[in-house]
Amino acid sequence: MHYESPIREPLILEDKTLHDITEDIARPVEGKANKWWWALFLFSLVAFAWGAGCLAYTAGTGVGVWGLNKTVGWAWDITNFVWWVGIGHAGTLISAVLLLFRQKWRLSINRSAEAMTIFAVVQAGLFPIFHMGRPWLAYWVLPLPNTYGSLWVNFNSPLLWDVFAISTYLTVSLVFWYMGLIPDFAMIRDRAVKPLTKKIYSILSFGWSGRAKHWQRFEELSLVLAGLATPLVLSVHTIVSMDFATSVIPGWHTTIFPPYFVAGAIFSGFAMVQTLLLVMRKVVYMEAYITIKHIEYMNIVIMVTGSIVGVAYITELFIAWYSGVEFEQYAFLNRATGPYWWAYWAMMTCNVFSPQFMWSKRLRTSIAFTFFISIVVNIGMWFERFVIIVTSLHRDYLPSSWTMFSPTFVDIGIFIGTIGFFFVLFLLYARTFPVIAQAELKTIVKSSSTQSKKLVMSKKIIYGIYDDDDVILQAVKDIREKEFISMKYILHFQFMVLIMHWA
Amino acid sequence: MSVDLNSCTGCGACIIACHAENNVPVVGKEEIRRSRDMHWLRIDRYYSSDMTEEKAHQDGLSSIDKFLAMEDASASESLEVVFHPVMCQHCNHAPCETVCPVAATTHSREGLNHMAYNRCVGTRYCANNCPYKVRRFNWFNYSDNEQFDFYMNNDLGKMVLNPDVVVRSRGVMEKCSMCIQNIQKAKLDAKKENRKLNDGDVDCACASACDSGSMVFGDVLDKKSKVYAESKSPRAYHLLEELDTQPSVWYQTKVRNKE
Amino acid sequence: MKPTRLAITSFIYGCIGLSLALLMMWYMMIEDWPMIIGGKPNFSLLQNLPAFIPVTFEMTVFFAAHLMVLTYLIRCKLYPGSNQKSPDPRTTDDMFLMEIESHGNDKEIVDLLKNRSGRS
Repeated sequence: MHYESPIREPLILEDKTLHDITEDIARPVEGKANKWWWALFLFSLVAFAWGAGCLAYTAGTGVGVWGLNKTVGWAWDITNFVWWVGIGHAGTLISAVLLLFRQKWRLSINRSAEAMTIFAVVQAGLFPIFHMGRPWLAYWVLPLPNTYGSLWVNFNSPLLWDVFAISTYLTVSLVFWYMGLIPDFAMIRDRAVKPLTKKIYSILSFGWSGRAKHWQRFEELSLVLAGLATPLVLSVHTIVSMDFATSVIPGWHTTIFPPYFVAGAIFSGFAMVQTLLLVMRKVVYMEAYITIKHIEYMNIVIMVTGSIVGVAYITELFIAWYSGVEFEQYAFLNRATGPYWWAYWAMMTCNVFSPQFMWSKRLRTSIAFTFFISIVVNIGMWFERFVIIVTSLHRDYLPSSWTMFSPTFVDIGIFIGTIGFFFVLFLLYARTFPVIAQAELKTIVKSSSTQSKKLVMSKKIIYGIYDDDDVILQAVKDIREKEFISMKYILHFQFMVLIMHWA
Repeated sequence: MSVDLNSCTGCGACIIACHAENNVPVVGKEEIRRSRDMHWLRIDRYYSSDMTEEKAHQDGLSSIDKFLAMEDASASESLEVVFHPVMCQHCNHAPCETVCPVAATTHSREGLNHMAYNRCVGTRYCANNCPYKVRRFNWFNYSDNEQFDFYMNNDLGKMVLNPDVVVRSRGVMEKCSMCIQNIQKAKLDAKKENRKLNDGDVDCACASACDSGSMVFGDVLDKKSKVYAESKSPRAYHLLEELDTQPSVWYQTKVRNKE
Repeated sequence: MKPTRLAITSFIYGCIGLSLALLMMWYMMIEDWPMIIGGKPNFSLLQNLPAFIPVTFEMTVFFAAHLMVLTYLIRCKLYPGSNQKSPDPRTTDDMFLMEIESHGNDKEIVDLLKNRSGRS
């Protein structure tokens, strides 16, 4: 049993018992949606429909309906792609990296953060497909032989690395998320009264029975998946940054990109987690679990990663000057003072300046201020990708090809559509899934809840089968030493089944 | 290929010849305004200005002011201009080839940068990564489209198309092929006559249209060829040579006789 | 309880993914249809290896993660539509459950449990 100092601030407030946690997390699933949920849902659905229409128009008419030209071949499409992938990174970071570091505060936010990851990567995945001139041939990027002979794919291309990175990331995140969901779906299944609900959650919970062996394997699985997901999440944005870093375009061709992109991804991802959770904790009454302490921790991450990004921006400027490459120097001069200066300074203000407010304890524990900064950071990170992609491309080597980019209504429509799609998925999730990993959260009730400082509780539901008499006697002795409120024993074939309620 | 900037007058005949030979679509005013011209070959113009590094130093100008003054050609009293035809440079270390996920653009053993239109899925990564910006994208289906009513979308116009060159569809990248259809034809003719290719057997549309003879095309591995001699000229240079893309196009720098 | 060998299987799956990735890229780019791409050494796996590292890594993770999850689901007999369920629905709420196999000595165990000190 892990000892935790009583001075450390609790992660679960309001004297919640194990049963209270079950009740609180099952409530949004079992109850009915309020009108705010419906309003937000319909609004998102309309945005999604609008974006879907714009996508269909693009696929039907040609990428020419976007604002691109011969010099700026990527603009909002890849900006949005990188933005969404980056947002996704916080979920994996919370669930995998913080698991490896044994950070308990991850437990009440990891489920929703991972959901956000998956929904964000789904949005991101749309762009590489629909930015293609011939999206119906998108499957050609898979390692399949060509129809006319053995022409394969090009493994030198960073875009192909992206195909592998994004698909691995999406599927591994999905599986990691789902494995954690199984015991929680089982909780909803065991509470369900309506036959249909029971049926659905029975299927979703894969017949989870909570055997000790299963829990043991589950813990091992979570640990190894976290160990795999940690380098994976770092590799994904590294590879995304290589789309630019391996090119020859001044402003793109930079070795600093991988760490800089990963820091930026975590930065924007945590901001999006804040945006979502600050609303969610209010709407589904999770204030006892997503506490000010959680918000403060996340704000510290935002402050640190924002500062790392700031250092990267300044390093880029320094290296441009120090390299003596006039194209590189011009690229950065153009960023800061050229026709897109406003995008550069919006990026600088939102990403470097605004997170510095989080040094103040009063500001980083203020919910309204956190919400405001989280929006600002997401705007800033969108501009970062826009600055990198568009201002580097629009004026590269030969001035004869210099152009400007301005988005069309289709560009804007698709972006709004992905935001709508994202919220549609997240809102549906918030009403049908257990939004907190309750089975895991219950493990810290004993050590990290307000009431834990007084009471001793069972660490976990353990279900074991003992076939040796000596072991049984030892187990019974162990049980007798602990205190429990009630005990029930049932004869079940040749087994003796004990049900105990720990105090 | 070698292009002599001394003799280039910037007349633009090469561009027209290229359009006609390679079925390059005419896209119209609207698309040109959006910088979506389809020219496989373009002529860059460089105007001189009075501002030099030394002069800026004397006048005590800041570097930003210096660059601004350098870009302002109209301030110059004796305006000079250089015409600079730019087509695909057929780089031997081509940045465009490495980045294509589906290997639609690869190098031939003859040193040409090939573009397989029917393999292209249109990610435009190659065009982004081209330092010369010579790749052109089919934003719409220019060849069969009422919105682009120039010459390609009616029966009569289609009869004027070159049957040896494919008409590119929507969503595909295209670029200068060094008139590969002419190269293939000359190779087959030589094969039929059971001889080696001679210098001058093949010409690109742009080179044959150039009346000042500033464009020379040939096999640079053939030590007797004219293009080999040009490539060894002291005036020869590669465009953006410092990127080490190792282009197959040489430019002969412009020499002026003045004080 | 014996420690689970799930992590070891994951390592083996990862090794399979790594070898498969290298084999695939060697076959597709070096052996079956080599092409000159950007002047890169596409005729030797070793020389072109740096460009193959990202895909090799991703496939290693892909195999290690997915095959381990499949092994876990199969070993625990978890699948959609499985008829297993909690022995008591309260175990997923706030209850602790222990199953003790008895060999005809039910009474002995019950007595032992009843005789414990404190409340019952």
